[in-house]
Amino acid sequence: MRDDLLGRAALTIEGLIGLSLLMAAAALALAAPLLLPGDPFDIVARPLLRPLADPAHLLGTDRLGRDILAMIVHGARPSLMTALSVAAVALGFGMAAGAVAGMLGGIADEVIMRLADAVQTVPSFVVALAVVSVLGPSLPGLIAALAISAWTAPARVVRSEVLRLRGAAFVESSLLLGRGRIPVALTVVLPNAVTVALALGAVIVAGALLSEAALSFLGLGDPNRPSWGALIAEGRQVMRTAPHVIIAPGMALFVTVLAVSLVGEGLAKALSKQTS
Amino acid sequence: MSRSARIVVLRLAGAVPTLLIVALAAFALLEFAPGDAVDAYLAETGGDAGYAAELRRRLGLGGTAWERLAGFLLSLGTLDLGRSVVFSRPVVSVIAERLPNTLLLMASTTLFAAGLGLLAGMLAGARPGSWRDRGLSMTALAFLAAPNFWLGLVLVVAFAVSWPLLPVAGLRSLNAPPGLAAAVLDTAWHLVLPTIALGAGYVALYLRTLRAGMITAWQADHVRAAQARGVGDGAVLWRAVTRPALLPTVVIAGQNIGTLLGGSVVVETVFAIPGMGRLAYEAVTGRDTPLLLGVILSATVLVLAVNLLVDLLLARLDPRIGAADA
Repeated sequence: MRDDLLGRAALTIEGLIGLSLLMAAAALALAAPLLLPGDPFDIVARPLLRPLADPAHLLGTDRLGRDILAMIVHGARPSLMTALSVAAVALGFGMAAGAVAGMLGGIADEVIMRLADAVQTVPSFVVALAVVSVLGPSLPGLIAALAISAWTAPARVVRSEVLRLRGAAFVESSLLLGRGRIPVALTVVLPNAVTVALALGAVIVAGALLSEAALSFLGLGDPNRPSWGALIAEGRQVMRTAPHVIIAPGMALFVTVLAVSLVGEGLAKALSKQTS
Repeated sequence: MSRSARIVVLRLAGAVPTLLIVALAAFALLEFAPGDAVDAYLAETGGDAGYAAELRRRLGLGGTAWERLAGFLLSLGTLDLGRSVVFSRPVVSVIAERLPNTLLLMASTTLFAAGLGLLAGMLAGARPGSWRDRGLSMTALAFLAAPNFWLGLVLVVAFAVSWPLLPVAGLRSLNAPPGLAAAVLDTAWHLVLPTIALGAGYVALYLRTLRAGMITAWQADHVRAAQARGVGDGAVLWRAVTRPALLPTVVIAGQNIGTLLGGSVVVETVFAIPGMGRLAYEAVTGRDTPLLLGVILSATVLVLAVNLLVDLLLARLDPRIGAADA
């Protein structure tokens, strides 16, 4: 059923365009060390070369003479890694929390949903700012900072699915076999709510890409890795005379987020056709 | 009890545990931070251990974690948020100074996004599936994907270098003409670019919400009944399809107040606006624990307050909400 949904999502126009863009971005990110070997932070040419001025540096150079294309391509992997990990953690934790809350009800439900309420009340970017400043800009720190606010949406969606399915015969029979409510929630009910939560994954990835870039733009990212947000921040000093230094990394970020959103749109469309 | 009073009581009762959880979580998180505001402050000015201890005592940063927590909760009860280390002033006064600018930016962004988004949403939802609808929906998706800080910088480049038409920094001109009307106009002029940078994504949200509501409404019986009665196309579109679909868009305004505040962190930094968002950033870079706690808590209160207002507005628009037997 799930593969079917993915297949049909890929068949929508949105899904097709999004998936091809995303695969291209992922391929570039994975092949970065092969395509553009060497340290992307190396100074390779004269500073502020315009794009296309030198075929060896297609997107030109920044104010120190570093190749912009190399930094963008090498910056893709950490950005995509962070965003995908955030979605994995947020979906995993959120879906489990939602399943347990819906299945157990009572105090457990009350506690989990109150926590979700509180998390959703604090602006998520302010939370991310505070968490990153405490945990540092390492990959686990970034993932924690962004996932801490992102788990509530999948939790809510899965909880309402569980409430709908709780009385179904296959759930009742599993319970009658003497299995605990939590194992049944996680192994029997949860798989049926996966498709609904999956479409949320795209929204979480897109949001995490944007937030991660905004954090590195503010100088709270890892300074030892190239990052699109940090590239844009560095370009600010020279953008009035050489706008290409901010336009190129911004376009990379924009196209990647757009691709993820298109895939999400395709998933949502396939999902609504399935339920209607 | 009237409906409004019941909503207020329910919301306030729900707000207490939320605020408590946020306060405890924020406090616990910042306790984990390596080094405190005094370390950060002394790293710049220099000073011996005795001076550090004295500063900690004065700022309420000394003692054990439990003593600090007790002090923090006690002072919260009296709406005292402590002293900011970076600004050497009470946190409350720093926030009170910054909040109006952010409220202004949030209000102008909401007006811009709702105005443009609802107009485009109506055009798209009037004929779902048409080329006009597809074009508008795709544009909306692109708006949602554009990073707001990058959009802001591109606007700065465009309007500072290519066509120097609009101001790109601050909220007031240094040489503003005298008079209230001129001052208002001056600030509105300064708000144009930050509003577009922050609001572009929300235009898309309003468009999508209204469009989705209109698509549902087109299938409703009352629409077909109106068409069968011979009600004109324009009247059907506006009164039977658009108006009922407008209600959920009010919820969008409330739901996104938090992300709007989050977005103002970068947009205020790009456009040099002294607001709450930039204050959060300054608190983080200055390791100003009392200030950061204060910003987190006041942001939470702001979100709760706006949600209460939205609930009251919704109840006014929809008599079913908050009714005794609901």
